[in-house]
Amino acid sequence: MTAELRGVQADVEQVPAWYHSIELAPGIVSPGYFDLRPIVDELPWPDVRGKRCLDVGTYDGFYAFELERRGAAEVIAVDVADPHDWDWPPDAREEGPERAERFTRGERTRGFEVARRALGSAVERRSMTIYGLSPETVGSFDVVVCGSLLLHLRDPLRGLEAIRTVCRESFLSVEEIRLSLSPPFGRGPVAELDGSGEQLQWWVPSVSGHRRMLLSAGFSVGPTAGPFAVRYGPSHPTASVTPSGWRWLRTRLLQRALAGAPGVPHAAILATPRA
Amino acid sequence: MSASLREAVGSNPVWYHTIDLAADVTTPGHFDLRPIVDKLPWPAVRGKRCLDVGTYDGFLAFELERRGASEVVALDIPDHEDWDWPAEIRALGPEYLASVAGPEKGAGFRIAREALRSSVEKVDMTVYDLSRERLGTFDVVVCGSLLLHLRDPLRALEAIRSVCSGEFMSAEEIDLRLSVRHPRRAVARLDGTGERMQWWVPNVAAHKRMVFAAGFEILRSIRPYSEAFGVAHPAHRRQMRTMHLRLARTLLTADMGVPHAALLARPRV
Repeated sequence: MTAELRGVQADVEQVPAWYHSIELAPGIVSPGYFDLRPIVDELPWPDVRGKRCLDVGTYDGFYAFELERRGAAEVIAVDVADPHDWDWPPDAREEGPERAERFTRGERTRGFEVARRALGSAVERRSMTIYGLSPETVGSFDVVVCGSLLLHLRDPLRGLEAIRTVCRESFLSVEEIRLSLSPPFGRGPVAELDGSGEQLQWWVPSVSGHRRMLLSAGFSVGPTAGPFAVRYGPSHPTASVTPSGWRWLRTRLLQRALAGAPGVPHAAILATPRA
Repeated sequence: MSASLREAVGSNPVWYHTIDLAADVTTPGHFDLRPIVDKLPWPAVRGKRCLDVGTYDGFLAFELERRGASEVVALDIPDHEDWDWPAEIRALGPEYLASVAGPEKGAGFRIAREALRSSVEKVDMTVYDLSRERLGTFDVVVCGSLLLHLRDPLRALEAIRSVCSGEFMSAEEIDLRLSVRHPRRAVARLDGTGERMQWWVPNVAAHKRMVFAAGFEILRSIRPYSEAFGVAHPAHRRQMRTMHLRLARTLLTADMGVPHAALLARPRV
């Protein structure tokens, strides 16, 4: 291993908690919660070459760096650095952000910075909630990408409407969906409500619910992909859980049958703003 | 007396609630809550300070007063510009919104309040803006058939909790099919596309989950019931023709109309 690679490896180990598994250098992959690498080429990507692009809820920056790799002229990545600004339910508003800070030891943006340096990337990161997106705050973009974010929003439709205001051409939406509410079990535009502070999850839609959210926010729905599984990375707690019980088996079977692999079921939609 | 009251009732182009204003004068509403009002899980309201959120023509506010509330505040939005329109519809401009929204909404309340010699106080405000600073706290809050018209019902419920010091009665439209299909899972149907101004319609479990997530504990609930269409509702005559659907609904909710669920809760946070 060269001195440079050893440096990258050392930086990777300094990050308290990685969210994304990202290949930062030959043979060096950040140990994330989630590994999007196996599905990234299945997504209905628009042509991003030469385009101004935005990644919403970037976390460690997987999609932002992927936009850059695909030839984007400029990439802005936004995320909320302070967990107090997340949509906590009232019973978790004090304890929730503290728990989140403990998890990342107050260094939520460290992974993004390490990855950006290792990749020699020019992606610009800004601290902002999805609700704060507007032509005044960030300008407008040819391509917007948002992944696995809506389920953490109390008002996902407001988030999507904000995206709509800054999106000129294409919007790639990749979101967790409920297999048990999607075909063949159901066809309606529905969502399951959690609303507990534990996982900070609100609405998880069916495949058709995801689609309806985009329609409602003023998009037309184009090519779709999925359902597919976003695999757990090495640092996800599930990776070390001993499987047991009928519920576990049922979930795994469902994931394997309908999403192709164990992981978190997702669907992707390439949408365009309606005039 | 009745003649002038009848004239006043007739002057209001759209009645939402069916309300008995005098022995022989009843408003021709879109919905009729009279058959189910006594089945609702009312808290004790005698001598209490009460709030009705989304009052429209005021049926529930006047009912609170009739049940002995010492003070009743009735909240509704001043005009349709404040509704949660989908962005695309809003973009069509104020004139379009006015044409979809129809005539002014406050007239019915004023006529009914005067006819009933009520002292309910009307406040123009959206549910999202409810706060202790602006209105103080209430021993009892009621809210009926409102959440489905909100893009962010959880935010509204939290605002209600912020002014509720006692009990909260929530009576909301539910999706019957989703309630039967998922008795324990909190599932809601999303509309959000059109001019009907409907967003999330929960099943019974999701109605409870919404109220719980907003920081309430559920004290009790009643089984789903049907809110009957009034004589002014277009479905009133149609429902007479669709007998088989009516029968299915009758079996499930013991009446015809819009399926609802109601519960009584109190703040836990």
